[in-house]
Amino acid sequence: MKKAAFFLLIAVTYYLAAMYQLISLMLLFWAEVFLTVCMWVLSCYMKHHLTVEFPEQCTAMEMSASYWCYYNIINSGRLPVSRCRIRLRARYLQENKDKIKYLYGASEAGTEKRRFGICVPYCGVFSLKIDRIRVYDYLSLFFGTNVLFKEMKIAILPPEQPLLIEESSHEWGSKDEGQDMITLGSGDATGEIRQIREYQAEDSYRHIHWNQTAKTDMIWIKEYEKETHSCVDFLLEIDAVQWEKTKEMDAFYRLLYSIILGLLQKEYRVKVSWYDGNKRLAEMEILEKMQCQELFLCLYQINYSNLPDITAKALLEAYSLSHEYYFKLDTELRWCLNENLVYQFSMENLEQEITKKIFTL
Amino acid sequence: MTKINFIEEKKESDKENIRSLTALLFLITGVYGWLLFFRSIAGITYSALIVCLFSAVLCTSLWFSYYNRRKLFFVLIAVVLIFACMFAFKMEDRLMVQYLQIKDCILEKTDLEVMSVTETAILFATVISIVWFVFEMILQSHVVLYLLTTGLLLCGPLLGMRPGVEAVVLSVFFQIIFWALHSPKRGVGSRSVRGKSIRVTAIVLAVSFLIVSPLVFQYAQELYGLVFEAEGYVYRTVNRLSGRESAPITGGRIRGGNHYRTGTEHLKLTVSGQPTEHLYLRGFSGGEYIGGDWKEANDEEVFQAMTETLNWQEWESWISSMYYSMYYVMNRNMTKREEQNVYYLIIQHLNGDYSNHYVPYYSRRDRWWNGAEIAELSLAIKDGWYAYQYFEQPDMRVQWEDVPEDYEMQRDWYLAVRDAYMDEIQTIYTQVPTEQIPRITNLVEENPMNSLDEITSFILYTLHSNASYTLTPGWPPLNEDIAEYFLFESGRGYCEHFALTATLMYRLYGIPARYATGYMVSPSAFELQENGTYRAVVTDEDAHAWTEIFLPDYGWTPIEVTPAEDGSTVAEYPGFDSLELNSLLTERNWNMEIPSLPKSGVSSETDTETGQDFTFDKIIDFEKYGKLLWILGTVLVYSLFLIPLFLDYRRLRRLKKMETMNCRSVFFKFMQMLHFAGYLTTYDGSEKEFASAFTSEIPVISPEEIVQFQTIVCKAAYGRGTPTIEEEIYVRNIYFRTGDFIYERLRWNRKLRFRYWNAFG
Repeated sequence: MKKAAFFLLIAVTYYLAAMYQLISLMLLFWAEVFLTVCMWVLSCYMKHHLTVEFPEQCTAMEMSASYWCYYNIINSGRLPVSRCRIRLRARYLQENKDKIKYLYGASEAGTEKRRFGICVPYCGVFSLKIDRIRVYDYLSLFFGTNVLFKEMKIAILPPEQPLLIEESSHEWGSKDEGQDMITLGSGDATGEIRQIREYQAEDSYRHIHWNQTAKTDMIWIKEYEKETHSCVDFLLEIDAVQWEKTKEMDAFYRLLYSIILGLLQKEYRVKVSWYDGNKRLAEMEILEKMQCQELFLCLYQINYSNLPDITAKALLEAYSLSHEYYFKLDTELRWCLNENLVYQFSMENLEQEITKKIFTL
Repeated sequence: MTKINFIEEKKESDKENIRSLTALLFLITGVYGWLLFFRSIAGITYSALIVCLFSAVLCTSLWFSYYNRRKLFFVLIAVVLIFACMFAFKMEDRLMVQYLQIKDCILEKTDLEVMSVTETAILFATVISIVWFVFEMILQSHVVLYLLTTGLLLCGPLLGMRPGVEAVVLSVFFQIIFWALHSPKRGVGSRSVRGKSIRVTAIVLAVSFLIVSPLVFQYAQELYGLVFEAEGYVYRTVNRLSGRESAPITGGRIRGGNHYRTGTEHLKLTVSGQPTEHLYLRGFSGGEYIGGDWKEANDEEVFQAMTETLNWQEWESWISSMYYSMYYVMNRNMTKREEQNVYYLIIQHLNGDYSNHYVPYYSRRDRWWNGAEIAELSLAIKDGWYAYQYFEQPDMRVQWEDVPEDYEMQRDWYLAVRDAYMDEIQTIYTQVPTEQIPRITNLVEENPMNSLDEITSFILYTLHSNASYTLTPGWPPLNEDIAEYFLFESGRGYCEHFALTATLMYRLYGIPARYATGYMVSPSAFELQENGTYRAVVTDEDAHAWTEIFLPDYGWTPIEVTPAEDGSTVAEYPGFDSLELNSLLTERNWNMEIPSLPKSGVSSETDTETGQDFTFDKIIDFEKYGKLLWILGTVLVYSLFLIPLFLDYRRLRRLKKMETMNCRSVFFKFMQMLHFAGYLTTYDGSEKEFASAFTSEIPVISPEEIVQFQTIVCKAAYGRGTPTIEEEIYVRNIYFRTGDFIYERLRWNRKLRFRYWNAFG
């Protein structure tokens, strides 16, 4: 529009210059024509010398309010670029549609580091692509377009919200209000006693060493070897249909992370197993929080959309037969012990359920 | 789709982005462009030195105060506006006179004497300096001023203002540079990028002007011609598509633009014999002239008036028919039949539209042809063709006194009609709207002539020495009469403009004259046919306009006032030919090669006295002291206004630079400052007792502080490591505290030197 108006004005200038035989307007017209040609040449020159790249192709970050993503504008020419427009395409890997954002920039000769902020609502793998850069001349009349393929993948890890898990203080499973009792096998305190120590406030009554307590005036607690590093088998069942839904998967990942964190807090080892798409079940043992990032990067990289369901089912059945007790979490947010439902989480109240609900093992 | 939000980072504030001396320079350039354009209005002038200096000072002050002393900026604006109001109030009468002069010069284009409007120009400069600054620097909106400037440059010529090269160049620099300055997205790009980009743009623009200037000046006409060719092509195409190209030429509207011919056939003429002179076929005669448009001459009004004079009662109806055929009939009855050289003419309109007829001079409408052509005649009648019998001008031999006896009574009737007609047209066809054409009226009044031949010679001399024939004269301004523009300014035109101007001049001399349009057919256009007649096809290239004057023995007679294509004069009428013309030109010492009129429309480069009570020009006697005074005045004004601003700006720059100075440089300046103020002149700062001597002179700094100061500087000068940022700040802090102490104790003149010349603090 601006260009059309400019050309119209200089055409009118030429016409009036001729009609009134005004050398000044004629001079103006040809100077503007010359300037326009120069601007076009400049836009071509700058186009050939300007490119954009991400300093990092992959990165991971925890979910928070916003992130700063860095990119470099590289101007290999000698002239500064006063205006360029970068087309940025952003999407979650599962989604087909990109969100397009135009970033405006300028650059002196050399490399200029710039950044933009991004707010993402869900966890998962997030892709940022720069596929086109428009370089304008100094009057923004012309532009040259460079087609690029610069991509950065960002793994957005779920927020750190451990599920509230308590170990049961009752010998027999009974439910209090707002609490879910989970019976994990036949009992946890069947292993070797590592040591006996004094009672602390959060200790379960189950582990009181009554004999020793009776002999002395203090309450003693049995600390078992098995209890501190007992392993919880955890099977993930990811549905291909659900996998394509970013919001559902976000809930799944959040919940998974919360459960794992909750279990880790209680000093359980968690052995997570999932179908990796190569006709086998992958597994990873999580001993500490840092390993969760690795787990989620593995999970994010799997494309479930094209996986044959039959193999996965067979493997999952085999898994269930080979394990006496195991947790299972599926993308419908069903948390099961073996095939028994422990708790059905809901997407709408997930946040509340994670932060407020207490689960007792 | 998932809702993803982006946050863009802005680097610098926009206001900081355009704070540069380059921007100020081009702001002043833009203001100058307008001021110079204002000066190009014909009829006004002003002292460019005063006005341009004033606007430069104002713009610089605004710029400086806005970016360096923000509170002062609003005070300055208020002061300037108050002074402007007081100035306007004080000079109200004079400003009103100047305003009326400017209005007349722009709108009415009357022939006014050049007046100095310096006071108005100062006010104008004040307003545009402030407005330009507000738009470009504060609002950072360039579109409005870009369009305004472009509109001024493009609309100015429509109102007769011809911007000079310097006004256009300055305006364009302003437009393009600020365009480049505001082109990047707001908040994007550093000041440095913008600065570099506008410098590159300015260089490219300057190079553009340098490259195209010689070409434009050398090939201007060819470049204009390109437009005319394009316009002609469009005109012909549009006419062809709309079917207007075949329409015969009618009407008395004087075309302002170019005249493009299509070569379309309009008429077919059949003549009984080979014509020996140009055949003028009149389709329109102009009566009253109103601003570029002739109303059709209404002879019926003349005949109505004649009935009262002649008082023929029941024969009144004969008057018009007698008048129309009078000269043909008289001439026919004056000569023997065998000597008569009557031409029979049949006119055929090729587009079939016979709403307007074309009439040859000295003719009579006829339905008869010779016997051999009866069949064709009948066909002609059926198709709407029409016929005339006419004489060529050399065959006209009307002698009113020498008629056969049996014809005397008819002669008397014709004579009475002629005399009555001449009486009436003496009033009607000498009317001229003199207020519309003041310059032509003045020209005629200043050059009184005695006879028709002298008048004709003067008109031809005036037209042909000052104007040249072209079919592409361009447009006239909207606020100017086309005849005046043609004669006094452009000096270019075609038959319509020559005939218009000549007709008006004849009328101003009291000679009944009419503007006529139709066709002029050359004798060579006629070709012999098998049946012995001659036939010519008339195209729009034969369309023509001419002047007709009334001669008692000939009636309305065409005068060719348009020069031939080779520039020669071909005007002739009975009793006046080229010999007579040359004789009169020689006698009056009129040289057709030298323009007799000065071309206006170019502003005077020198200021002129106007005879008013008070002018700035009169305060300074230009004649007496010459230009030296102006130069001194310039220096004084700059000294008074710009140098303090510059020094303050320089001071701030230096102080800002201190923020990046290293310790050693700060210490060097520190010692300079002490010595300037007369403190510790025998010390160079490295002495052991320097600290104690310093604290005794400058008690605001404690001995520990000055020792620490010395230690840091020594470390910077001789130590291995470099001082930390905190240490650098510490040194500067000591410097400024000392500077404040010293400044307070200096005399006023040394304070000024301390602050503005040496920029110590």
